[in-house]
Amino acid sequence: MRAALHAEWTKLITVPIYYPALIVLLTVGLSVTASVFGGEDPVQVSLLGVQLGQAVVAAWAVQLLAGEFGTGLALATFTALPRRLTVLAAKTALLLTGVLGAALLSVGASVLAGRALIGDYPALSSGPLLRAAGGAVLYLLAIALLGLGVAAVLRSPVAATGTILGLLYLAPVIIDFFHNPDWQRAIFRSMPSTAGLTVLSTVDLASLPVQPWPGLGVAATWAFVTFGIGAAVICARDV
Amino acid sequence: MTMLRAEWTKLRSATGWLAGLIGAAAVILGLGVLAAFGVTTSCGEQEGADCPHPPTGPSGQAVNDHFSFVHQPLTGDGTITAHVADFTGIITYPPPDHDQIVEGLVPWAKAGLIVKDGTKPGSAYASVLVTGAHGTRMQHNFTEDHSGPAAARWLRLSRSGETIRGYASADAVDWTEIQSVRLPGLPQTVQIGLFVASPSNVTAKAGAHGGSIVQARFTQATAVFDQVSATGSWTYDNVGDEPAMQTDWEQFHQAEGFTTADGRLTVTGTGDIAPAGQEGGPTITFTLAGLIAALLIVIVVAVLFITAEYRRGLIRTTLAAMPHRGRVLTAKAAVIGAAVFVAGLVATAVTLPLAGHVLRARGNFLLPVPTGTLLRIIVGSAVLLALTAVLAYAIGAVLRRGVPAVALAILAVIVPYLLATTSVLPTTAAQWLMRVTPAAAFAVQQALPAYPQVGKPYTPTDGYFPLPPWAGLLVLAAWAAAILAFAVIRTRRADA
Amino acid sequence: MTETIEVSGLHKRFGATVALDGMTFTAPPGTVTGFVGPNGAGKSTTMRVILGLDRATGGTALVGGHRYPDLDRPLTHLGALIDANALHPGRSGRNHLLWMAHSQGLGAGRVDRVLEMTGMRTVARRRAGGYSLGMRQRLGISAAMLGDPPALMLDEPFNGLDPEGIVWMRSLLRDLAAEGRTVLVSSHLMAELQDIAGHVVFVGRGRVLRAATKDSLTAEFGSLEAAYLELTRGEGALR
Repeated sequence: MRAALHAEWTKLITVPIYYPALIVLLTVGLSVTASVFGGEDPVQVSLLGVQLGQAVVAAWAVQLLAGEFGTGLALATFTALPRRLTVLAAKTALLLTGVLGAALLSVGASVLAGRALIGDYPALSSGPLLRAAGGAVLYLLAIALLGLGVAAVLRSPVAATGTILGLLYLAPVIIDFFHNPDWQRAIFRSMPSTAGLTVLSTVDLASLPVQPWPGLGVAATWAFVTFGIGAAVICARDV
Repeated sequence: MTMLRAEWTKLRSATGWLAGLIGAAAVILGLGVLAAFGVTTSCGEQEGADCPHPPTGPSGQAVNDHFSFVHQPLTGDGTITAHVADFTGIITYPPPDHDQIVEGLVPWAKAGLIVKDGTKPGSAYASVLVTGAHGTRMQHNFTEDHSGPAAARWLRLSRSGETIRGYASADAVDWTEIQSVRLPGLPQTVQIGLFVASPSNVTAKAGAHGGSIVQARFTQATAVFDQVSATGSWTYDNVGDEPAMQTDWEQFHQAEGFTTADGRLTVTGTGDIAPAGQEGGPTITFTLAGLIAALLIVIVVAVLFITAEYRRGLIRTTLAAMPHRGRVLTAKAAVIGAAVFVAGLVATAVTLPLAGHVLRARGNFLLPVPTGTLLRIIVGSAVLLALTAVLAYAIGAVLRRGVPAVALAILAVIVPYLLATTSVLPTTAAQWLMRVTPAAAFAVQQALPAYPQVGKPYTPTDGYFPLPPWAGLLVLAAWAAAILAFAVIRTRRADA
Repeated sequence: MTETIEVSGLHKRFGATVALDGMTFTAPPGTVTGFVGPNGAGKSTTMRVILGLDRATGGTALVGGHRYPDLDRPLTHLGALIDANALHPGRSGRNHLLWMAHSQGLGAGRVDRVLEMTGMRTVARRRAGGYSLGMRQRLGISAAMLGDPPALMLDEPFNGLDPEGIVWMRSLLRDLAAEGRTVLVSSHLMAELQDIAGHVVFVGRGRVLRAATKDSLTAEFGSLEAAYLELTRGEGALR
């Protein structure tokens, strides 16, 4: 495992990596813009950037794993490190560490910007704010795991990017098109982005179809199950 | 031309891409029909077609037609003149505190003279009126509005055959003709008289969990008319009123109605004479649920169409066969755009009528949409798909790498739409997103026009976009063209 | 230390296509074993199965008596060149070798030594995406030599080499065998192996048609070329 981590680390730093910078840039950028406009739920407004940041997190995960299949590099990787789960574990550990760093930075900066820009912003020590901020970081980690899972199953970097971003972005839009409240609630509760992002809400929680922590649980379930399937596929399939 | 054929052959012969296009068309059809089956209308005890729905105006659109009407028949030509001596009203629980009933008129409260083809809601009419805050107006047949002198309080309406003229005056001496309009098919005998209407006080606020929440509050207006030229006996009708929907105010304080004393006619009314908006019911647009999913597939297909060439080195073969790099890139763009357009057009042309049929067959009401608008949505959605394909392709040609290209295209087209329609962003920010980003092209989906003479918040959440459909498409086209041009310039300079 | 490559009874199918149909042979140390057959005969698949990249449905493939995926630091046992294009175009050749070295617990010193040996030192810091096919083959050989392994396995190493490169490759393979290493080299062109192979395995349709020393084959058929034509007659049809 140590050698695998060392190898994956070397791989990571020997090509330009834009993803962590992009995560911070897009997340903080949209959060600050939204904070300038304000809204009903100051905390959620100040963390709106997570909507953009998650795309970069997902793309990074896909690039890290499916990108190797796209270039054929996977062949060299699995020749040097034939224990496939070790490779996956090393990649996952590095990605989650990177996403954690970028997410902490983005969420921290977004919260500080929100506090500076929005009038009735809650105190930094308030429970709902801490839950939303911590939840945002956990949510981004879940998306990273989900991205790895989808990439492991699909292997085509482009198809994997399309699939995971579809999973994240289609649900909230399509809900609006279904004029059936039962369906709308069912979709909202079961999709990773709609359910998971309820963790950012701090007001009028009673009207949410799913509560913040259970909602994040839905996203986490998606992440773990997809990652598990991906790991099984990586082990079973020919490279 | 040969270039186009070569690129088409490439697209056609690679099964993955073709499957993607067919999948995109299938998802539009599938989700559209699914969305149609998902709708069940019910209202209290009743279901489906028995539910009340807005009346239909002379040109086929859904309308609001609720007002207090003091009228008498007019056979043949004639003129009525009146002075609006007083115009007051109440607004229930307005912002900011929503805690009391205040005196006042909403900007589009209406009092004036009207000629109408009977008292049936939705029938043809022409009216000249004073408003709460928009001066005098001449309005007819729900959608048409023309402004007159702001300070005038004297109104005159004259009928001559099918032609109605509206006048306003400040002193009953100098009269300004506001407008002359034709009401085709107006019968010999019409109802003429005084009317008062007061639309709801409406505000939209950002929802705590995204989207916007529209709040409508009951209002009522009272106008005192004197110097009314017409004599004879008056009949009162509360046109379009639903007694079951009466507010406490109407039941216990002041009902709509009409009194007369000393030649002064006092009319109290609520409601509006105006085109109905999205609140009147669903439009056919929502059966385009699959369009977003199709956009995603199209983005993937278009990006693969170019990045696969770079990755496998096929581009060297392509460029060796066709050395004009700029033209090759453009030809490829044209091919992917055209292929997506055709696939999209087939899908939308089948889906909208079919889903509409399913909805109606299951007893649901759909707001009527003119055939021209329907055609525009069908063709425009296909153009939206095609331009998105070209945009994604161009991004792929610039970046030459699939993952960032797909992500960027989705962030450019789909995410702004998502943020504008479902996020916690306020309406102004949402409208800016729908003006400047490639997502502006979603304006082609707008089924109902926004009317300046209706005091309603028209938000992207409710399906109203800040740009007209063609302008929205133009914004997307400009983005696609600019990025494609950048790709062409870069390809000329860089090595393949 | 010597390590023999032993393949016995390998079976592998891709859907309805039988790729390996009881492939059995041994590549002994101290000699170049030519692995020869028409395109689609199963040469690459056999090599991928040996490396654990593809999973065989039956049979065993052992390197020095062990399954490759069970080896600790596998590149120090068997070096392989399967696909010279299996690299990230944005990473320099040297960094490509560096992550691989790290995966085996080796350092940068070993990287520079193999780069020197393959004549890649001058271009090693350039982006691999700009390499010619010949340079990629040399980089691939460098990767195979990274762990100084007692056994080497090269798939079509002559592809894309210029005449000078072909001469270099031949003498390299001969020298490696002379050092007592096991060298398995696949090719669909007999001429490339004419002078260097001490042992030849002819394959077709997923199984061994004939395995013998060059001397016995030359005695029987007159030349390796003639042996190839005779043995693979009717096997070359594309399936």
